Order: sequence, then C-alpha cells, then structure tokens
Amino acid sequence: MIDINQLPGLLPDEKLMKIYRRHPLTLFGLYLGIFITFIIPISVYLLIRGMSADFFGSEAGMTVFVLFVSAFVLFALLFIFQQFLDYWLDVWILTTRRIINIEHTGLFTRVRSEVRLYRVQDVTSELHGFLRHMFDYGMVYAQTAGGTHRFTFEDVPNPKEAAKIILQLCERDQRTHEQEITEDEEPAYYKQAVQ
Amino acid sequence: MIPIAFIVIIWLIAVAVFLIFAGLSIMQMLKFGIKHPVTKWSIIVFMGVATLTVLGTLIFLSQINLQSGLDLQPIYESVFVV
Repeated sequence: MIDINQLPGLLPDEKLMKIYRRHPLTLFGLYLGIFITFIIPISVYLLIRGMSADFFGSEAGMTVFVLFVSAFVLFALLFIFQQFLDYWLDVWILTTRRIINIEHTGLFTRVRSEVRLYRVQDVTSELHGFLRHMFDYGMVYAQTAGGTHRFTFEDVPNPKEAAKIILQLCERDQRTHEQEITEDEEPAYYKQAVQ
Repeated sequence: MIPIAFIVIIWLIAVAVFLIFAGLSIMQMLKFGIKHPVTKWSIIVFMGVATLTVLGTLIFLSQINLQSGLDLQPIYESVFVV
C-alpha cells in the first residue's frame, strides 16, 4: 500500500495538504451493480415459478437455481469491487510543492503524473450540469505555464474551494521556488564569506 | 435430462474464473491503494461476502444427490407448447 506520508521523491519541506477523489455520486455503476444483484435473482425466481410451478419442487431444479444465483452473486460482487477499485485508486494528491495524479483505467493500466506547483499559472473550476450544481461537484483545471500541460481534477467535491486552495499553494510555492533560485545563483565566494 | 454433476462442473469453472479476477483485483488494491482503513475494509468485506457465497453453495451441494438430472421438458412445454 502507498503510505501517503512517505510519497516517492519527497521534496524538502513538502507536506501533504489534501487528497481529492471523485464525488461519491459518480459511483453510479456501483449503485446499479448493487441494485441488479438483488433484483435479478428475485426476477429469475419469479419468472421460472410462473413458467413451471413444480420446478423448485424438484431437487435438480433447486440446485440449478442455487448454482445460478451463487455464480451471479460472485460476478456481481466482482463488478462492484472493480467499480469501487476504479473510484478508490484514482486520486489527486495535493502537497505544498506539487500535484500528483494517479489514475487507473482497467485492471492493468496505471497512469501517474505530477506537476510542480510553481509551474501552475492558471486554475479554473467548472460546474457543468444539473447534478453537479445540485451536489456541488465538478472539474478543476490547473494549467501550467506555456500551456504545455493541463491537470484535470475530475468531479471533485466543492471545486471552487479546491481551486482556491490550489491557487494559494501555487503562489506560495512560486515564492519558495524564487527564493531557492536566488540562493543557488549566489556566487561561491559570497556563500563562503557569509559562513 | 441434464446431469446435475455437469452443471456443478460449470459452476466450479465459473468460481475458478472469479477467483483469478478476484485475486488480481485484491492484489491491485493492496499494491496501489492508499494506506487507509477503507482500503483494508473493502478487501475484507469483498472476501467475506465471496467466501460466504461459495461456502453456502458448497454446504447446499453436500446435501443433494449429484446423480440426479434436470428435466427441462416442463419449462419447454410451458414456453413453446400452446
């Protein structure tokens, strides 16, 4: 498991600020899976009983039904777990120095990207659609200088607040980065004299 | 007549396929999940429900006669014969 307090390539003075995930309402597939898991076995039971009243009276008929329900529940459970996995493993980690995005698409595809906060120039939040307005979740775009890279926080809760936090951290990191550059550019004889 | 043993074999194959994918999913969760109680509990609940389902079915299967067969004639007649 990934220890959030020991992120790979931790920078000096870097602290975890927030972990963003998609809004739980976007887990529509999961809710649908749970609903279907209950509805289908009951529907099949009622359908067969309607067609042949003594089907469940025989040992063989009951066995087939139990095996069908058992296999169905197992695969529905797998589907639900996959949906949750997809939700839980997609994260946007915001630290005091960078944004890290880990995204899983499918069972074997994992994309990890990161951007230093001092490179971010523009942060935009977007609420689009009825549900997003009702439940206050939406997109946050972080654009890097020169427009080379665009980081998208997908369907995160309270996007306006998230954009504000990111922007504040970007400004702070820009100041820190400028200080670091100035210190690095000081000539060696000056550093020795100061010491 | 379809022998029950034949249907049980199909179920066992389905369980084997499930176990492969379940194993891969749990491995992914353990490897890439963030250290958090939800990560652990989701795995525990998933494994618990799956184990209960398989065990329940096996207990049911232990009580039936696998030599018997399923006669689809009554269902066929109720659907296709007017």
